[in-house]
Order: sequence, then structure tokens, then C-alpha cells
Amino acid sequence: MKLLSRSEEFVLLAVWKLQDRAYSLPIRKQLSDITGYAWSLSSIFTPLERLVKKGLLTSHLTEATPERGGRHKRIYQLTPQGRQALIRMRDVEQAMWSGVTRLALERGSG
Amino acid sequence: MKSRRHDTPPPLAEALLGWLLKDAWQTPLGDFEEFYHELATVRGARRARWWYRGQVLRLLPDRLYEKTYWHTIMLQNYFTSAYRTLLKNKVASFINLFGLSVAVACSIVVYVFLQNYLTIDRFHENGETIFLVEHTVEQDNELQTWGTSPMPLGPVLAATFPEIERSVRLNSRGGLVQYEGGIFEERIVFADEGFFDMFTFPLAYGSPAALSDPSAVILSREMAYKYFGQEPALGKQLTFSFGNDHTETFTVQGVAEAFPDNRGFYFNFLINYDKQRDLGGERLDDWAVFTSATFIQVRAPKDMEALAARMTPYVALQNAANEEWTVQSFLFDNLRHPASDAYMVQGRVAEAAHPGFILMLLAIPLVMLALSCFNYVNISLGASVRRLREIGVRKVMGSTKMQLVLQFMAENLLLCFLSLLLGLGIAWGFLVPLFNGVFVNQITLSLTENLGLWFFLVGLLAVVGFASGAYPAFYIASFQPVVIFRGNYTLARKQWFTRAFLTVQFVLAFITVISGVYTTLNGRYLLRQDWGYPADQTLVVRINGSDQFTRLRNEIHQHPNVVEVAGSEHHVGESLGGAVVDIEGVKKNMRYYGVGPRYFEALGLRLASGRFFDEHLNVDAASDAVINRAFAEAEGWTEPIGQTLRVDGTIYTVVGVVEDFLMHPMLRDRPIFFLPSGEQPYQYLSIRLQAGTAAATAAALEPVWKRLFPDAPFSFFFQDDVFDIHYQSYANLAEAFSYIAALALLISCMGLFGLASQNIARRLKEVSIRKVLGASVPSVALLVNRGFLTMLAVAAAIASPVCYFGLTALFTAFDARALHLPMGPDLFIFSYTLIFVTAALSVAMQARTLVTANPADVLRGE
Repeated sequence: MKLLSRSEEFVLLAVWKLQDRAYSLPIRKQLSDITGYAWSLSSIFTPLERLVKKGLLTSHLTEATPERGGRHKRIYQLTPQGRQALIRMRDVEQAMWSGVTRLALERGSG
Repeated sequence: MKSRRHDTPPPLAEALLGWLLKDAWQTPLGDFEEFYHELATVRGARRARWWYRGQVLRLLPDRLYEKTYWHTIMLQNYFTSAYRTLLKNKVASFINLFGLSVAVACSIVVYVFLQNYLTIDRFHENGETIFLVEHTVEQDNELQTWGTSPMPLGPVLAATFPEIERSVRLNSRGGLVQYEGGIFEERIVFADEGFFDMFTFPLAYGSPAALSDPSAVILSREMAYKYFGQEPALGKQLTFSFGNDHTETFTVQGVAEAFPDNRGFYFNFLINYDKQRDLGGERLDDWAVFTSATFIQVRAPKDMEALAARMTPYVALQNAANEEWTVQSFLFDNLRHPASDAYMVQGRVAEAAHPGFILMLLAIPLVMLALSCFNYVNISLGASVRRLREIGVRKVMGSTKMQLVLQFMAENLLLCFLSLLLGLGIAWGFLVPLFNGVFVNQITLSLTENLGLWFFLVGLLAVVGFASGAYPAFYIASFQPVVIFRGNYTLARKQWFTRAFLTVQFVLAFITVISGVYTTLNGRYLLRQDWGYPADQTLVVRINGSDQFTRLRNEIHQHPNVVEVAGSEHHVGESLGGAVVDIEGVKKNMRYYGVGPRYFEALGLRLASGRFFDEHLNVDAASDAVINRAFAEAEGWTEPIGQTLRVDGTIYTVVGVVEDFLMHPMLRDRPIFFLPSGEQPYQYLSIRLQAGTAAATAAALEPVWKRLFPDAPFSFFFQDDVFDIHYQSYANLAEAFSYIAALALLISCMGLFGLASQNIARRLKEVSIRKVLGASVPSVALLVNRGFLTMLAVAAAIASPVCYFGLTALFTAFDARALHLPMGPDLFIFSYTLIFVTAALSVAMQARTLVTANPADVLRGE
């Protein structure tokens, strides 16, 4: 399987973390909070769409709520492949980071 | 949140966003709104709103591109399929294309003509402040308005009223123009010096100031070309002769630029007004003499009403000078905005647009457009049967009704656009030259200079496209796929619609054909008229005054071929005089001929009772008048001899009644009379010849004339040619009518052909079964075409009375006494036969399919 892009990776993780509250706005909020960078709504939609296309996410609509102008929410969920992708991602990242300490990075030499 | 207003995102932006995102994108729209609220609470409503708007703007370019992209693809697809359909149904496409392009060509020509006709004389820059002086007078028991005015009126008004900036009089008269041996009869216009200040007639060469020079003449471009060709005209000498042998040489001091197509009055030769005093002894200060037109230019048009109210003293002044012509009032009519009834004004220098004529002209393209649009509707409805499956499949595949409508409209628009191009071509290459050849008014078809034409063409495309395409498109697009595929769909419900259209088409075809046939037959009828005298034995020479008359008569009256010689001021078929006649206190505006002794004998007019003028008549003291039989009948005189007429203050006694004779190709029994004329105003010398010597005498006459009058043109005609111009213009009219009738019939029959072919294709199976069961070909042919026959019969029944009463009314409008062919059954039978045969021929080609189709082939299919 090809590696995911950073934004896709983050969005996928956020969906996993948020579980059944995972729709565009909380995802955006979580990413913004953690990264400290103001993610725009559209920068969330694109990775979400791609992940759905790749079969890593599915989505369903909830009942309409008044604070959204009577419109539905689209809640995202991980598919089994999505979970597999997270597992693989975690493995790869840990392997990549192994042996790299923060101290060493701050000192400037291995 | 600060206020209610900020509870929701900006409505306009929200609506735009909703439009940009399709239905499937409603969820993100919700996200946006929720985020908006979040932002509003954290950062304030203003920031949130600007954010929302920003989001919409950022979305806009991409989504717009996507939307138009797909629409363009779809549009392309519409036109591709339209193009293929047109190619596939070649016959139907040709019928539609032909009809529409002919109709478009007619419309274009009529449009361009009306553009000129409705803006006659509007190009004068001072038009708003220029007024024509008219007067009203009571004649024949009705109030008439005339466009002429007394000669001194203009200068008097300009001198009296400070509101008037200047006055310009025009007077037009005939004369001979001589240059290097060539002699031509021309109309010469005399105008006051302010002419070029008042009117916008720019000069190409020379100065407008030349008009104040009494020895100068200013030419139109056409005349400069006629006399001098490519040579410069300025400084050339032209010799003018007016009546009474007065000859004078003028120097060309100006040449006008080409006049616009919409000029009403104009000039060929322009000479200073006061010059008339020297030339023909015109009494320029006499209130009893009228000039062709007086224009005044005022400083403010709003003063005109007050001015008109102050005209009463001039009415009195005029009537004191001229008892026979008692003016009721003077009026002013603006040059640019003439009164709505200006076309009724008599003797107006520039004829105003006549509403009847406009309506008649409009009728031609409207009939053609209606015919071809009906064809289109009928043929598309008929063809839709064959396309039912296509429509069904398209619908099942998810095409919306609107998309289908668009597709059919695209087909229609493509066809209309092609017809527009073709129509432009027909108009440019054929109709405009034809028009300019037949009519005096010239038209120019120019897409670069005529901006209005562009708007007209676009409008025409829209109107024709909508009129022909809208109904079929909506009708066809509304078929239900389920009904189509079940296979028992019939169009029977809508057949009355098609039939009504076809009937209307044929009503129009009948009307045009009957009119065309009638005009042609009537032309022949007029040619066959008994003239009331043997016209082939009279030769007429155009002369000028008593000197020419006396010398020529003395020279020729001894000639063996000459039986009789007479002079006259007017001449039957050529010219007439007008006079106010007072019979027992009733004033009438009537026509008369001023003739010398022996004129009746020279022409061969027949005497009904009494006597003709005495041969040794002393015209100055004469009070004899001869009337025609119609005159006596109109007055109800059983004993006309001895009755009296008062003409111009002189009392005449009727001494003879002449049998009615043809005075105009269409007039025989209009009341008319003859007065004795002195030799001074003679314009014609009529010679009665031995039968069969006409050509020889004319040849013998010419050298005599050349010897006697080397400086004057020899101009003569045979009396039996005198109506040729009328006959020719009547023949042109008949030809135009026949063209229109032929086109209308052709377009209608093409429509019939299209429908018949569809009808037969639809019923081929039924007909084959009938044939198998033993039906004969004629009976089957009758069965299939019975519907068409009924329609033709109904159309004939509607059109015949319309034509009968319409044509009768038309002749009555020209003159209640106008000669015309009585409309008998033969006219109608001939027209019916013509149409029925043409219609039968167009259907017969289809009927062949019936005869030749082998039932086995047709029925085997399924």
C-alpha cells in the first residue's frame, strides 16, 4: 500500500480519535488545536474525500440539526482497511523515529 | 451575538453557495453554517460573515468553470445531434429551409424599405424646427388639406414674426436642358437663398452661397454624372429653356453629394427663387399663385401653436386675391414629426408615409413567415412520431424535459440560422436588385452601415425560432416514456392542430393565388378595353407654344397622309387640367382638357349629341364647353345642351356631349369636360393619319422638325402607346403578385408534401392490409388523402369571399368608377384548379409509394 500524505494521515488519525463525533468541524478543530495552525474547512474536505475514495473511510448522514440551518451532518468512520492503514502508519513512523531522540536533535549531532 | 440579523450567514452568499454546490453538497453547506456560528461566538459576527463570504468567493472560479464546461459540452451535443437530424431528414429540412429563407429575404427587404419610408426627410439636422406651411380648403363638400401655399406668404411671415428664423419656398417646374447638342426634359427646382441653411443637403463641390447668384445652377450628383460624366461639372454652362421660348444659360456652381435613400423632396437642378421673375413671368407677389411648398424654420417649436392662431389675417388676404380658392386656415406641419394624417395632404412636396401601403407591404413577409412557420410546426409534429423511440430512450437515460426542449430548440435554431444566412443571400443577390429595378425608391442592404439591421436580424431569428420551434419542442418533450414503449401511442389527439394550421396555410395560399390570377387577368382585360376612338390613327408631337404649332401645322397639313391637325394644352392619356367648377352653386374640384378646334376630330372622339368646338372659334371670347356622357349622367341632366358651368369666374355653356372614352387605363366614365384653349399654351399637336401610314409619316416628320426647330428635341408618340407606362407598371404589379402567389403556393404545397409523406409512411401498413384484402389503388389513395381534400375545400370556402370583398374594396378605394374585370366564377374555378392540381401533384409523388409498395414487403417485417 502506498503511503498516505501528511494531511490524510492526520485526518485519518483524527477520525479515529473522535470516533462517532467525527465530522468535518471537530476534525478541523482537533487538527488546529494540536498543530497550532489554522486549518481551513476545505483543507479538511479534500483529504476526507480522498480517504473515502481509497476505501479507508466510510460515512453516513445524521439527522438534521437546527444549528446547521436544517442540514445533515456527515459522520466519518474507519473501515477495516483504514485501521490497517493506521497500524501500518504507526509501525512505519515508529521505525523511522527509532533511535532519534529529542535531546540529540536539540544538540545538533547524532 | 449582537443582533438577530447576525444569527445566520449572509443570505446572498448563502444562496450563491447553495447554487454553486449541487444537492449532494448540502452537508458541507451545513458544516459551513455551523462553523460560521462558532466563528461568530469566538471572533464576532462581522469576522464570521466576512469569512463566509470569502469562502464563497474562493469557491466561485472553480465551480463556475465546471458548470459552464459541462453546459458547453451539452450545447455542443445539442448542435451535433441537431446537425445530424437535419441531414437525416433531407426532404423536411429542405422544405423548412426553403420556406424560411424566402420569408426571411422578404422580411429583410421590407424592413430596409420601411426603414427609409418611415423616416422620410428625417435626416435634416434642423428637422425639429422646420415646418411645412399647409392650408385647408373646402372642395367637393369636404375639407381638404393642401401642401402648397401662396407665393408671397413665406417672406411676409418671416418679415412679420420674430419667432420665425427664415422661410424657404420651393417651386418645381418643367423645362428643357441643353448641353452640347443633347436636349433633355427635366424638373427644375427654384428655392430661396436660405435653402442650404435650412436643409441638410451637403455639397460635394462648390459653395451653398452660389444659390444667391441668379445665373448659377446647383446640380444633384446624378445630374452631374448624366451631363458631364467623370469630368468636373463646376463652371460648365447649361442652357435652360422654359415655356414661351425663354432661353437662358446658367453656370454650374455646385454639385450636391448623393442624397440619402430616405429623401422625400430633393432637387436635380436648383436655381434662385427670384429668377422665376425673369423666366416665365411668374407673379411672385400674387396671392392667387401657389408655390410647390413653403417651409419656415422657427427658433423654438413650442411657439408654433401661438403662431398658427395668428394666421387669420393672411387667410383673408389670400381669399381677397383668389375668390375661386377660398382658404379656411393655414397650418404648420413639422418636417421630422409629420401629423398622423399627413398622407392625406394633397400636393405635398414630399409624400408622407401611407399607412395602407405600409400594411400591404407588411402583409407579404408576415404571410410568408406564417406559412413557413406553420410548415415547420406541422412537419416537426409529424416527424416526432418517428422520433418517439429516441425521445423515450433519452428520457429513460435521465434526460430532463428541459434538456429535450433545448435539444429540439437547438435543431430549430440551427435551421433558422441557416435560413437567415440564406435569406440574407437571396435578399442581397436577388430581391434588392429586383426592388431597385422596379421601384423609384432605392434601398441599400448594408450590414456595416445599418446597425438597425443587425438588431432586426437577431430579433427575427428569435421570433421565427420561437414561433416555429416552441410548440413542437414542448409538445414532443412531454411524451411519457412508458406510453411510448408500450407501443400504442397515437398522435390522433393533436391532428386537429396540424389540420388547422394546414387549412390556414391554404387559406393564405388561396388568397394570394386568387389575387395573383385576378391581377393578371385584369391586366389582360384592361388591354382589351375599347378606347372609344381609333387610337392607332393618331400621332402626337410634343410642342411648346403657338409659334411651334403654327409653323409645324402649316408645314404638314398639306401632306397626303395627314387628315386632320389640332393643337391642345392637355392631351387625353397624357395630361389633365384641374379646375374648380361651380354648377348651380355647388363647387367641385374637377378635371378638364384644354383643347383647340378640331381636336375631337383629330383624336377621333365620337359625338353623342350637340356639336364640337367651332373650327373658327375665337377662343378669347368663347364660352363653349363639351362634356362627356358620364358628366351628364353624374349631374342627372337629361338635356345637357345649354347647361352652364362656371369655371374660374367664366361662364361656359355646354354645346356638345362626347361619348365616354378611356382617359386612364382604368377610367372610362369619370366625369370630365373640354374647354377651348388658346394657341399660346399649346403643348401637343395631334395629327390624324390615313390608316396604315403611321410609321411612314413619323419618319417623314422628323426631317421637317429638324429643319424648322434645330434647337428643340423632336418628341412624339403614337396615341395607342399612350397608356404603355401604365400598362407596364400594372404588368410589374401583376408580376409581383404572381411571384408572391407562386411562392405562397409553393411553400404551402411543400408543407402538404411533407405531411403527406409522413401520413403515408404512418399508414403504409394499414394500406397494405387493405390492398391484400382487395382494395383498389384509387380507393386507397382517396382514403389516405381525404383529409387533405377536406382541408383544401374548407380553405377555398374561407378564402373566396375574403378575396371577393377585399378586391372589390381595393378598387373602390382607388376610384369607385375604376374599370375592372367583373369577378365571375371562372376566376375562382381557374384558381381552384390551379391549387388543387398543384396540391394533387405534391401528394401524388407520395401516392406512388402506395401503388408500388409490395404488401408482402411491408407486412413481413414483424
